[in-house]
Amino acid sequence: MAFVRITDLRKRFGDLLAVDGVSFAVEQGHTLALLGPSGCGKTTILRCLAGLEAGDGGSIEIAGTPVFDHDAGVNLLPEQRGLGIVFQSYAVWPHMTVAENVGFPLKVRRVGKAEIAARTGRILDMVGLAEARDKPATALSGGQQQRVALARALVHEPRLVLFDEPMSNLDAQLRARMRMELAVLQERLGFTAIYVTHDQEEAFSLAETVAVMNGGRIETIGDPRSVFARPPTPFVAEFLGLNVHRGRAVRSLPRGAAGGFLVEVALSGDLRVWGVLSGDRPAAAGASVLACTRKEHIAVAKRGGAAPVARPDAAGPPGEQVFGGVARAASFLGLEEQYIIAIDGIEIGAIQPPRGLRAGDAVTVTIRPEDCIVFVAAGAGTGG
Amino acid sequence: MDAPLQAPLQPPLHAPLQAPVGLDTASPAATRRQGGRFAEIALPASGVVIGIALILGPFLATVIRSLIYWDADGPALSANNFAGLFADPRFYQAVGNTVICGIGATLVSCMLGFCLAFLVSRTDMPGRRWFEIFNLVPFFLSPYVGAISWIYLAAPHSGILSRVLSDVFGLPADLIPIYGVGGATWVLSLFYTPYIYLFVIAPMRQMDPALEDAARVHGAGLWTTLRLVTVPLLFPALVSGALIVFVTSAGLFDVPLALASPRGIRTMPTEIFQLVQYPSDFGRAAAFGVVVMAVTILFTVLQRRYIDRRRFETVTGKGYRPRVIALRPGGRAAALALEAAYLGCGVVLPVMALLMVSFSSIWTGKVTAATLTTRNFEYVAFNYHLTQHAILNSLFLAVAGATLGVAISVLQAYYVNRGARRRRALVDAVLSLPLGIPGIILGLGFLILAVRTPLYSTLSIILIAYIARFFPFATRTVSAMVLAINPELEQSARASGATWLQTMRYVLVPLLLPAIVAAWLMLFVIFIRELGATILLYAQGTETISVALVVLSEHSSGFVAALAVIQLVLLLMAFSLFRATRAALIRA
Repeated sequence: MAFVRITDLRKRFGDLLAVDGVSFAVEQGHTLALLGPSGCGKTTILRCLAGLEAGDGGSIEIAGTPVFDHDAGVNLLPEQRGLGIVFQSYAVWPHMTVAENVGFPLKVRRVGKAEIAARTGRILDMVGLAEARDKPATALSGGQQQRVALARALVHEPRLVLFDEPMSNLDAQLRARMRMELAVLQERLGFTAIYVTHDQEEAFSLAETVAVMNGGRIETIGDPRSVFARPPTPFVAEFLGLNVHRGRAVRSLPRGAAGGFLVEVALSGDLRVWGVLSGDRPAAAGASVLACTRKEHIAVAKRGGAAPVARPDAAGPPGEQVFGGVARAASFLGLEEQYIIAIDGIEIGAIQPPRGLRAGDAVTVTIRPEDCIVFVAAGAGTGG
Repeated sequence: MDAPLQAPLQPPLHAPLQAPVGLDTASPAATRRQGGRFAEIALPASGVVIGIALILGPFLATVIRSLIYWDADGPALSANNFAGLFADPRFYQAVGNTVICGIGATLVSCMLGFCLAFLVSRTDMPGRRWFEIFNLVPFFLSPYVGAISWIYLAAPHSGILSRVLSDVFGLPADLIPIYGVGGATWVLSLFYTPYIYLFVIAPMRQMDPALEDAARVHGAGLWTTLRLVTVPLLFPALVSGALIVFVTSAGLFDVPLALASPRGIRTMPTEIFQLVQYPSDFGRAAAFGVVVMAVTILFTVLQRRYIDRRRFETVTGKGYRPRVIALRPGGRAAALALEAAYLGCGVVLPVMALLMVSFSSIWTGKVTAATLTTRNFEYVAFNYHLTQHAILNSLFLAVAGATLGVAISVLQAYYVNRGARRRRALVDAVLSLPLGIPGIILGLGFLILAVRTPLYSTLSIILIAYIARFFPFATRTVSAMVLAINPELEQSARASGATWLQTMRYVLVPLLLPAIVAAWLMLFVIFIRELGATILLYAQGTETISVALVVLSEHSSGFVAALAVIQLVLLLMAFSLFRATRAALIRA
């Protein structure tokens, strides 16, 4: 049975529909990540869960107890929901020591002093802050304050812990370490977590379930691997950083046993690319479609001189399709290099191991049809 | 933290954890639920409701009373009070004199305040750290006592300075025109200079030095830069300070009472005071009050509009260290001379005069061994009922008023920053209305309200009037601090299981402590010296120090000076406490 269940939650701020009928469920001990760009409503959902905002519709159930039900007029106060929360700003109280910060949830539950000290010490040990317990909280670094906030959210052993972009103020290395530590802590303490982030890496690495949000709605929800491997909507594809190009379907061929269709897409001029369309309906010829490619799947090689470039075979889908283009920009990322390549006036991003390309170099670009995801554009037809 | 070292002894990795606390719905917390939500909404709202009642009560009383005219047939609704007021040449004299005083005081204090702030914050004037503090001292002193001290200093024939001018330099003994519009303007200027100083010193400090550097690099000299860049950038702060100083100095009762009334020169506040004295004309006084309130509110609205439009022009929020200008020897001497002149006239000379008079048995403009005595202090402190009462009453009013005022200001500040979003701006605007309303007008309103009620001639009505007149100062101070506190600090307390009251007690109030202490001391200082509202509301037995000073001024200058010294000591104690707690809280 689901531990947290949100049903048709709605929240409006003035004219803005921040949360527009969101429903999901999280299993006990699991982590759900709410992933999306800023303003998509993910933090509002979290604040509704915590009781910091009251929804304008729908219901929220935690551990089988309704904590919010718009129609029944139920809305428990934040302190009655028995949660832990970690904010982006950490919200560590500057007038208290580390131990006072962490012991606070126990203090307001009228736990005895000795037990507060013991449990505070234990949790501080777990987050690696045992040494800092009597320091003023503001004397700590950002990463340490973040651990204080984490310890405070866990010390009263809540069964649900909410994370509101907890790591976006940390540097990349610290972020990676905290992710691992958080996973270990969750394994050990067994809490259920709902984790708001705009960082896909964070969402994919921490969560059993990822919900990608857009404009107050859940665009897609599923396990990280399938969401990552096959973004189910153009918005998700774009949000995950894929190249998205609009074109027109030329023809669709059934893929056979693999399911779906192979679609030839006309991008611009006579530039055509084959890709895969999921589902059981082919794209009508002339339909407006989107061709999406992951940057890592675009193979780039230097092209000697003005050597002729193979064009896709007009007869049928090739094993791989090769295009001629020009590198517009190259930036070195360390293990990889990012390129922007122009092919017949279309720009496409590619991330590859360093090839030593420079802006202006002539290149060949290779794309396998199965790496190109085709969507029939919303409101498809003849519109551009 | 009684058993601190237990935790590390336990095996950290597999320590058995207690059963989850889980949801509190079945626990006693659930029974507190209604209470929690109730306190969260009702307490801040009650602060706002009290504030609005304190403003609307005297306001409506004054407006209604101004429309009631008594003639042979009894009371009737009419505009006769206004007609009578506008037909009276004394009204125009009073308004004219008050406007002249207000404009004069505003201009002088703007110039002085701006220069002093600039010297302290932007030059290497020697001792500027000390001057930075001392320039604020007049802010904490009583303007009434200041005016009396200046009478001791400059009264024709008997003033200390007048004596020096005539005895040593052979000048006429009535050279200094301390009585009248000029004298009142002078004393008001000395007291309002720190207001301007406070208004401009913060933006002067926070100004991005690059703004001035850019002018210098592009070819402007020091003076050109000052004229074309620095002063225009500080102009908004200066203008909004000037608007405030104009209304408050024009409405101040203390100084014209001491310096204009003795020569029969009419001003707005003293004229209203006269209208309430026997044979009183409350209707006309109320009509005068309505006119003053309308003008004051207009100015307050103008100031708010102006600030809203010009805010953040120079303040970028970063902690800049503005460029310090190295003064040449001549400039240094001039800077020190200005500081010495201001502090001399604003603090040293008046305090010296007070001390001299308070230790003299009779006052002739000189201190001699024959007239030296401590009898004034003994009498005022131990033998005289009026002054003893007055000291105790003032202390009670200041402590109780500051405590109650700060309490409602915290609730209001919470409401204005955390409450229902839609009503905030309106509530904030309404709650700051009394900021510029003269004390004597508010006193008049409460007098009209309290007549024929048990509150009449009690300390309580004075207490209520004090809070009504001055709570916005506390609310502003506290509100600025609430604004700076991230609401997530409170929200994480709620999510951690704390009720609203616990969150206030353990999180918000401790964080607000510096503002709460500052606001309390500010109200204490204001209440210890308040005169304008008290003068209309006191009765036998409820005199305050300031009222006793006025009453005694007709009898003995020695007693007045001794009592003024006692008041001065109380004010300076509050000032040093203000400095000390400020330093301590900032360190913490």
